[in-house]
Amino acid sequence: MGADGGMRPSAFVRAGHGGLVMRDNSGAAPSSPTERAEGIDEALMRLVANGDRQAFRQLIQRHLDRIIILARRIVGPAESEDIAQEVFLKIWRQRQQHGTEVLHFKTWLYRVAVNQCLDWKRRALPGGTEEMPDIEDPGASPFVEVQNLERAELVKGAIAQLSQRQRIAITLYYQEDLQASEVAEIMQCELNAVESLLKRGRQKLRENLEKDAFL
Amino acid sequence: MDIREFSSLLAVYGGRLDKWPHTHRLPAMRLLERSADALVLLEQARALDADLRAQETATSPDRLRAMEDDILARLELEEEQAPRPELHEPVPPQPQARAKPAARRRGQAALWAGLRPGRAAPGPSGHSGARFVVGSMTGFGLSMVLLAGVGLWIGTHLGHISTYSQQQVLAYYSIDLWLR
Repeated sequence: MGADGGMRPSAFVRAGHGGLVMRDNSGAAPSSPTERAEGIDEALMRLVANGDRQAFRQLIQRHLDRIIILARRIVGPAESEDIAQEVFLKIWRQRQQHGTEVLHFKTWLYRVAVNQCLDWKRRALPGGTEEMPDIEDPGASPFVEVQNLERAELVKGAIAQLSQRQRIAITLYYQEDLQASEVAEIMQCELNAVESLLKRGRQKLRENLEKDAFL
Repeated sequence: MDIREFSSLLAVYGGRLDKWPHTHRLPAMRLLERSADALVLLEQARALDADLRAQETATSPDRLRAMEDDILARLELEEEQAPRPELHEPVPPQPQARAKPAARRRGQAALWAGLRPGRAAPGPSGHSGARFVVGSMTGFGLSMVLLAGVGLWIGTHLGHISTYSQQQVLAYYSIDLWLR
């Protein structure tokens, strides 16, 4: 509602193909691609909160691949697609709650995704905790002969050897290109805790990769 | 900013200065302008950053589209299977049941039992001492109130009593005089 009580026009209009497109006269344009992307997500989420499935499909199209990659990094490739599906189902079920949250949609989405991954790991590993060491994937191990592996596979193997929380922090900060403060919001911990995870994660990765170089 | 602090910040935030805390960016840039060692450290950090940002294999577009359809199909299925609120005929309000007389008598008996000294029923744990004390004190208090009431009555009627006594004395004196 505007200040005069009238309805403000939506930033989006429905195009002939059924999808949503930005209105040309939607007011001040966001200055950066990130801000524009956030604006689109927030506008779509407002429609989703009213039960708009077409808007929800667009949100899925925008973020599904990133969530699959995030889940793959945290729990491995086998369960990543199932977890990504559960994440979006949860987003739909909790769509009314987003309006009461102060988080941006992307931060909220990642938080739901990280928590879903952690829940899956807790169920999959009886009596497991966050600090339980992960099972090393021998196919991506940095200890296999260096000549037979691509650099990316080495890095993947090195990341798999980090603790779960280090892996989540490193993935969110580098892969998803988030700020440290956003990572802290998603992981629901203090900023200095995230800084510690990033520092130790990088140090361990560097040690593992340097060890590789001598093999 | 010195080289040690610069190295510590690289260890946490990596080689992209735009991801550093705002207050450290400008001092870091000034250090880089004058320090070759700082430049070397920055390049090493950026090499590791590039490794960490190596893109994962993207999911094929067909697979993504299939997953989108699956998600929306599951939404519809969940909403169809969600229990609908059943409509009940309004139940007429029942009159509140009055306490049965026996129960009321028992309640009253229990109330007075606690007030009578020496006759308090033992509690569930068998301890009647506390109830006896409370009952005794209550009885004593009531007795004092009763005595005070009697005293008040005597005081208010003392005039009449004394007048009556004086009349009796006068009556006896009159009789005595008459007899004499």
